Amino acid sequence: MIKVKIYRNNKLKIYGFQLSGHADFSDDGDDIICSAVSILVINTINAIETFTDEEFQTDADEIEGGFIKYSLPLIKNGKENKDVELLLETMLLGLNNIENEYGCYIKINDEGGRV
Amino acid sequence: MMKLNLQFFAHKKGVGSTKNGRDSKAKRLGAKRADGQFVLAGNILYTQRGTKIHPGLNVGLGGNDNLFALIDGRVSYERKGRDKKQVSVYPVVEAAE
Repeated sequence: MIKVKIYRNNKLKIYGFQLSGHADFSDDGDDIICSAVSILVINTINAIETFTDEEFQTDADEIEGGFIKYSLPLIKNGKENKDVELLLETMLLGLNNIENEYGCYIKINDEGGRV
Repeated sequence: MMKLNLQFFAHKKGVGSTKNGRDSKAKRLGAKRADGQFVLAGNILYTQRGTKIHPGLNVGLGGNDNLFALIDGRVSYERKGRDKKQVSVYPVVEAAE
């Protein structure tokens, strides 16, 4: 199961996330849950780097896979960035939809974002 | 930029998964001639591994433990001692006219 932690600042804006674990939906190469989550998360990280100049920190095990920790220090401290916010909320929208359909394979812990 | 690995959150398959060796072909061992059957010299009577059945009268043991007739005659499966078996071939005596 993939465990997702969403970190929000005191204005409830996402400033980071952590994903750990494996989907275990199927074998390597056939795991559709894993590939859906991988594309959402990795593409968001690359989009923030490509389309914004927001400072970020990434810690990922690119050899073994199964772990990513990502944070945006200035946003953590209250800085506003509409582009980054849109990209992160879009990622979370996708992850939530995956969890709705495949809740046995992914669990999202969103500190305060969802009502 | 992060490398896009679509299986980033997939379990990596175990390395060197073992494959069961294929089973060998069935050798269809056992009796090739029945008790009382007429055979010719050289006919194989019984195929086996080891001597489940021992060679009796007029029967030879081949290199691969097969039993074969040494003369023309009739096959007879018999007991040998307390717990062994043997196969013999007895010549057929033509009835006197």
